[in-house]
Amino acid sequence: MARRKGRGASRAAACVLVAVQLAIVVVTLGVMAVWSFADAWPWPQLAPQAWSLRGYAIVFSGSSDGWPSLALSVGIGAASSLVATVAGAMGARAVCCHEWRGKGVFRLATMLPFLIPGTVFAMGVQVAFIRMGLARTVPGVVLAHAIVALPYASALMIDVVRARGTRLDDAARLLGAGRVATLFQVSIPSLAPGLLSALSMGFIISCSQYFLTLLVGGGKVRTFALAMFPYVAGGDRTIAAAYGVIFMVVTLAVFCVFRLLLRRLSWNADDAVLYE
Amino acid sequence: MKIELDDIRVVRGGRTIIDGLGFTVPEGAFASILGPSGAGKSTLLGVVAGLLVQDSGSVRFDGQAVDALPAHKRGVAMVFQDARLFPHMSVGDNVAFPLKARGVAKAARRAEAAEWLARVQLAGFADRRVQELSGGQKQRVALARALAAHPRALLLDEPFSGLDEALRDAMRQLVRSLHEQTGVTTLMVTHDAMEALVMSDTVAYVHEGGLAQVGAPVDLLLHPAAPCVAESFGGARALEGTVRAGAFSRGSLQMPAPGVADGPAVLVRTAAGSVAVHAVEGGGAHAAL
Repeated sequence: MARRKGRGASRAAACVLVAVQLAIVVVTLGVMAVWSFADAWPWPQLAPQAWSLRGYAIVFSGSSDGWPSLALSVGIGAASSLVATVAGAMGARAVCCHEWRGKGVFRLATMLPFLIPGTVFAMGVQVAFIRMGLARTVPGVVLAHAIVALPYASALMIDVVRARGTRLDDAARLLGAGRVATLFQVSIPSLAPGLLSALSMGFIISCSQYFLTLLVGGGKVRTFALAMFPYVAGGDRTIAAAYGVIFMVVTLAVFCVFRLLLRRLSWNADDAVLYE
Repeated sequence: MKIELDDIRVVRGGRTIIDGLGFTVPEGAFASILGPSGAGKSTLLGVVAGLLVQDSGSVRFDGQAVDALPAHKRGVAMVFQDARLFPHMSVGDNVAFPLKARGVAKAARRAEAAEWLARVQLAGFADRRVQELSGGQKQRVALARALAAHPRALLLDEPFSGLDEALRDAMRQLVRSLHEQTGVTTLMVTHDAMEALVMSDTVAYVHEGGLAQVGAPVDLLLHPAAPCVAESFGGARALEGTVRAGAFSRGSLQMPAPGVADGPAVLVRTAAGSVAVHAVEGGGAHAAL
């Protein structure tokens, strides 16, 4: 009896914690969604006094760079996540399947962007990119975002590659498949769930970069986060919230596409759980 | 294809895993590499396959050195302990994979894959997902896939050790009968002495990276050349078979059993190492060997 009571209490505590966490996420996003349609919402009113589509109209009007910056963000996100995932996958193969000198140092190096404060890292990247002529260019921003996404991609891929090893590659080669056929018909498809996870992670990380984009892009590469910032800082909450809602919808849509692909490519329930 | 291993030496991480080992598998034979785990058996098979590069010595196929050839050009196929089916392909596509690698047209490779599946008693399984198969079925698909590669030699790396005993016996018979049908030279790694005895024409006993004895299964059983070979048969073991015209047989194992009547019989090996064949019926007639 006492035991059941104890279990009930812990259950209630768990429910409260989940509710608090949900509230933090859902209420925040909900308030932002409401703000994006509000024309006037003076304090201390609980609901906006007037509604309008002004925010969305401005984001997508010719005077603002809503559409081009959104396209640029999606493009940079796609390119940088691809670079990070390919580099991460190759690094993971090197770490898991081969023995070589300096392997430990290499592993640490891939994790460094995790460990170094973002600002310090961004400044270092900026200085290096100015010297290389990559500063204030889209490829420079793509590369910088890829470096930030790389630790996530390699950590993910190292887990996946370590679990799979080269077992299937060996099997394919002993059935007469050359290196290229093995890569495209066996290695990549068998790692596909991990690769997709790394891609979607890289995309989301790229989309949420503000400071790094500002520093490396020098204000010339105007991604969605950059286009949005003046409205957030300048206090026009309706426009800022409209930007925020669109941003959220786009990243969620990309995430859902990846999830759908992942589900189709996962061969069994265990795999799906592993990579989610 | 005749496989010759000549003075193979493999050193990994400062440890000698295989130490100057050599033997020959005759064309069309079924040979086993027998030994305890950690003796270097699988390493040796990896060297034959081209997955591992030996530190010295040479591997020859039909008299030609293949040491410089990468794995996919050696023309050998392997069945692993863990079936290693490709999880993103159907059963049929798995079996057709080696045919695709050789550039066989789609219709032809589907037809041939179906044929190989029928030969391992899995007719109609081509469209199944690999994940739906049981352990024994997976191993049979792996066998069909390896044979579909039309290998010059078939390598088996402990192919039955993941299966339960009843299934193992059926698989042994299937592998042996496919060997007799196709005539492909087969080299199997196993730690199970009885398995090596009933399946092989030749057994090579590997111990601590060296060759302890190589010969016909009967020789290893009746005249073990080293204590480790005798010990590999374990304590008392019994093997059911049949006697016909004064000879006991079980699988490919044949041994003389003079004076024992035709019919079911049991080969008994005592813990002390003596071997005898007993008739199951007919008043305990037996032949000590």
